[in-house]
Amino acid sequence: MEEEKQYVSGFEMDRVRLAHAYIPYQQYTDHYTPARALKQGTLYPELYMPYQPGPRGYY
Amino acid sequence: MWEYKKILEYPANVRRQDPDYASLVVTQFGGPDGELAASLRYISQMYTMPIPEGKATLNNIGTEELAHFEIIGTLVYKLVEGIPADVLKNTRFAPHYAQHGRANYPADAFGNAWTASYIQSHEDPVASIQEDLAAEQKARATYEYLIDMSDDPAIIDTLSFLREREVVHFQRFGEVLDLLYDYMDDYEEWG
Ligand SMILES: [Fe+2]
Repeated sequence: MEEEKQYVSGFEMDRVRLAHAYIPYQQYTDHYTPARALKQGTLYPELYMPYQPGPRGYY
Repeated sequence: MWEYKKILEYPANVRRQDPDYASLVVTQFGGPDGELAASLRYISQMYTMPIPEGKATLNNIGTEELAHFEIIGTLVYKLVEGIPADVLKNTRFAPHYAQHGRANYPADAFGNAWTASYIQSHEDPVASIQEDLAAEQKARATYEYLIDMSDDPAIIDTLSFLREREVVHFQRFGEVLDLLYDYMDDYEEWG
């Protein structure tokens, strides 16, 4: 799971330039039920990143 | 124009009233990284955004942040509603009571009034979107500090939902940034 969290398919490294910020474009994989999505705050499992006390800024 | 629905986007429950905590969580009502700042920032930036996806994202998220402003306002008020002045005077909420009674007021946890100086709006869309990415991170971090200081599971539940929305907003602004690079690459190529 931890590895999946870091890996994003389809991220085009060849177009990346210095001094620019990039956030990978989300690719659809799966979704929660509407009830669960409304409760958790996202429809997408890969975007569900709940707060876990640990190093600051890690989520 | 806007349409208003008389329901909260997410429930705002408190197990037990707590004026001290009200005076802290109020920072997400009217503080530098709060929901009012987020909403007005995005809705102000929208007009000069050169791509429709950018305009739509700012409008959508700016609208949602206003719904979050309403959730936090509900939380703050529930934490102090009906508590007598002689109890409030011994809490962190006392200065707020002196100036506003129990009415909500957009201020930060120190009592500083909300100011548009918290936000920026640039014609340069890359500059604006990166301000927005930063805003989402700062809001996420603030929710984590606030969660750290609460032992009320109902409040933690609401703040966790709002925090997760900031994670999603960050992703959406990141996608707009990518589309802006595409737009600029095309502009370079075709003039
Ligand atoms: Fe947000």
